[in-house]
Amino acid sequence: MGEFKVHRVRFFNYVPSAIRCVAYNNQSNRLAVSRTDGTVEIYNLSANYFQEKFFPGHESRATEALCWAEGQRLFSAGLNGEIIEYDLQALNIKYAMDAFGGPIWSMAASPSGSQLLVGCEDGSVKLFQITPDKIQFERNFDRQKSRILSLSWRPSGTHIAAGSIDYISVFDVKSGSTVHKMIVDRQYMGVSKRKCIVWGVAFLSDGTVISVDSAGKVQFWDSATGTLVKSHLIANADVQSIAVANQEDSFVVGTAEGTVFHFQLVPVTSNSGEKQWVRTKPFQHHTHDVRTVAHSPTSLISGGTDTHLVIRPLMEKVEVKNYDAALRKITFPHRRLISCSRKRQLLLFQFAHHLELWRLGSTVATGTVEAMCLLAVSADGNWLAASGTSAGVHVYNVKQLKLHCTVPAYNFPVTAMAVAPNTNNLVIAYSDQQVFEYSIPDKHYTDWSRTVQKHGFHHLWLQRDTPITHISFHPKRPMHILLHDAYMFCIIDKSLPLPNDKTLFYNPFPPTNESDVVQRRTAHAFKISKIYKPLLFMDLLDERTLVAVERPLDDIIAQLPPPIKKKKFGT
Amino acid sequence: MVQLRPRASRAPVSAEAMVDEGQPASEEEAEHGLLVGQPSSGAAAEPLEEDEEGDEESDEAPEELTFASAQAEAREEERRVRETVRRDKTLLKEKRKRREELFIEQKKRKLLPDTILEKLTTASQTNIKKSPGKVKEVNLQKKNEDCEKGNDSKKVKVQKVQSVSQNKSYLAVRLKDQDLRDARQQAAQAFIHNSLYGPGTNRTTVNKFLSLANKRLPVKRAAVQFLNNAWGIQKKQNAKRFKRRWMVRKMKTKK
Repeated sequence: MGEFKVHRVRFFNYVPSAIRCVAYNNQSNRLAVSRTDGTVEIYNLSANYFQEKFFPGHESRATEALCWAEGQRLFSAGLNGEIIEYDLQALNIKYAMDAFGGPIWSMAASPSGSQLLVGCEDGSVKLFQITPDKIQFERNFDRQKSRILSLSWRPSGTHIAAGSIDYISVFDVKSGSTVHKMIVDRQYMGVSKRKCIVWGVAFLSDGTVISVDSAGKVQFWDSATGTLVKSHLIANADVQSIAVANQEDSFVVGTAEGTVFHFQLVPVTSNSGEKQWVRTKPFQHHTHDVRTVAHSPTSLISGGTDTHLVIRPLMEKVEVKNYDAALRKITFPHRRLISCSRKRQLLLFQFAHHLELWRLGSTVATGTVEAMCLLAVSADGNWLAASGTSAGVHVYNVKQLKLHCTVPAYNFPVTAMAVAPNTNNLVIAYSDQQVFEYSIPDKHYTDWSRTVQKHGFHHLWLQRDTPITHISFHPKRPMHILLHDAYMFCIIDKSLPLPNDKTLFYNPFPPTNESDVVQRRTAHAFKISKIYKPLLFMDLLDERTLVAVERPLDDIIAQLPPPIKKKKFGT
Repeated sequence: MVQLRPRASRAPVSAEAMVDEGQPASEEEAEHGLLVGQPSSGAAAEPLEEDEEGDEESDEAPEELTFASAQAEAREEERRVRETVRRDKTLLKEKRKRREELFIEQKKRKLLPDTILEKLTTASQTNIKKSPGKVKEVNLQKKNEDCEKGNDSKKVKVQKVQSVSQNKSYLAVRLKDQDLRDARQQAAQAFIHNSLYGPGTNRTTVNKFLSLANKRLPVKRAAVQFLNNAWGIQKKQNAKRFKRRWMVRKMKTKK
């Protein structure tokens, strides 16, 4: 493999922005995530949790609420008072409609998916009808005294619960008038000067309203009589989010201390029919406020100010207990934010509002292969490979400006692509960690690729949870492919034999320590190094030099806003 | 003590005084057009003039003027006065006319060109015919909302303009609305900042939060960010300046 000099770069000051809202879509198993700088990302949970769509954002479009409506339509609303619909095919914003109620704090889609309810700063709750191409204002409900911070529809569509400051109102949808106004205590059995903000409400089909507020309480109310049934004090800080499962037998809440609690409906005794809500599991995966949670049929999803997206599959809901049932924590971007120019020794860093260009040391480089997120150009400039949201990778002939061939479609999205300089082989990495090699001049998969597919990848390779974001090649060694993801980089040597499941995959010790015979037996094609992590980018500058851009997690955490104080014994 | 002028005779002095009073009075009367050949005033003027002349040549006999000549003179006087008045009036009229035209032109420049105005008026008419539903919405909103009636009219205005500008790429908004909108957004952001990070919340710095683990290790370690370089910036700056000045002074005294 050879020895390399490595430029280790740690000055890329990449700080992701905090997650503000999450919305789970059951039919397509997709998750929409919106951040405080206005970006919206769509993750495909069945494609190995890959981020497939990305809408860049602006602070003026910062969202406060996100929801899916019927027919895979995504809506968001923010403090600028506008409801925005996103076009998921064209990847842009379809339109922005002003709701004329001031800043919008909450939004909920009706259970049928055809109506949209919006809670505004001036205390009004507005009902919008979703038409095939736009939304249309229908009517206002009774206006309340303070801002409406949370909304929830009853699954039957007849009532609505709206959480405000110090009280919760229950509305009747047909008439638009308040049925009950339930006053929330400012503190658990005490008096407090600070107002009690009801951050989240959830309406169950049996008429129970669950509310979470800033005093750290989870309360159960009966909407028929308007009275408090049960009150749980679970935290010393605000409880900021709540999400109920479709079957209504469990729900999840997130607190400002970073803890996520799971509540379940369990029978009181083993054979009685009566059930009660019990707090079952606490999870501490976050350091800062958990501002949003979602409940999918098999997992709990949470996100907050510490910018991680955490997906925790529930053991009792998962059928097959394999690596899929482990915790997923998505911290680093799934797209490549860094580009490298080999000839000029330059690195281009992509930030939200600006670009930074840095110059590395001074050496001579050869060849230039520029690859963008879903495009790959060959070294001699003849071929251009493009992959979009539709299936298949198209290869175009640049000289004649027409389509040359199409790589057969695969059911997982492409995470990285590159064209080898001399052989013009297109190497594609998919989100389920499969790597294919396609020969562009011959218009079919290469023999090596077929052998790899027949043989299968090592199970440790397939269990990596971050996608491959960059592929590059050595100019003088056509048998080598260099690729990396967030926690490792790997050089695939096509001349060496492939490993089967029993061989040692990661070689921790350098090969010189072992004898020749052992080396030959254990040598396999995948040479993996985990020295540099977390890796944002790695590329070959010239024959003897690599550049690795790392982003230590501590540097990101040091720039986050203040968390809640925790009192530990002895400090 | 006022020294009076030596008076030759009483009559001329009184005549002069009468002359001073008489002339402005006659001028005023002339302006108002009341004087139409009043022989008495004309006759009154003459002897005064005569008296003045007589003052200097007191021995000569007064001039003999016929009634007709005096009348003719008086009429001439009146005609001249009338002419001046008419000229003044026409001048003023013209001035006013010019000013009005200037204002009209300025106003026209301020307004949009005629074409767009035409379009707007025709569009508003067709709008009212086309969408009774929209008007219904506006009415409902008016009923349900307690205040902000001005807002409703603004809504209607904004809707109209939006429908006109389909073939053009602009949108007319009032600047006052934008300020109001920004103010509300600021208030909302301030509310959420206060409720999450304001007084009464139990927040700590990231440094302290991460150092908590270091404090509980079996071998206690320092905080994650131990040095505070932002401490005492003013003091350090003052010390630097003082040192510089002291060095300069020292150099001077040494010489």
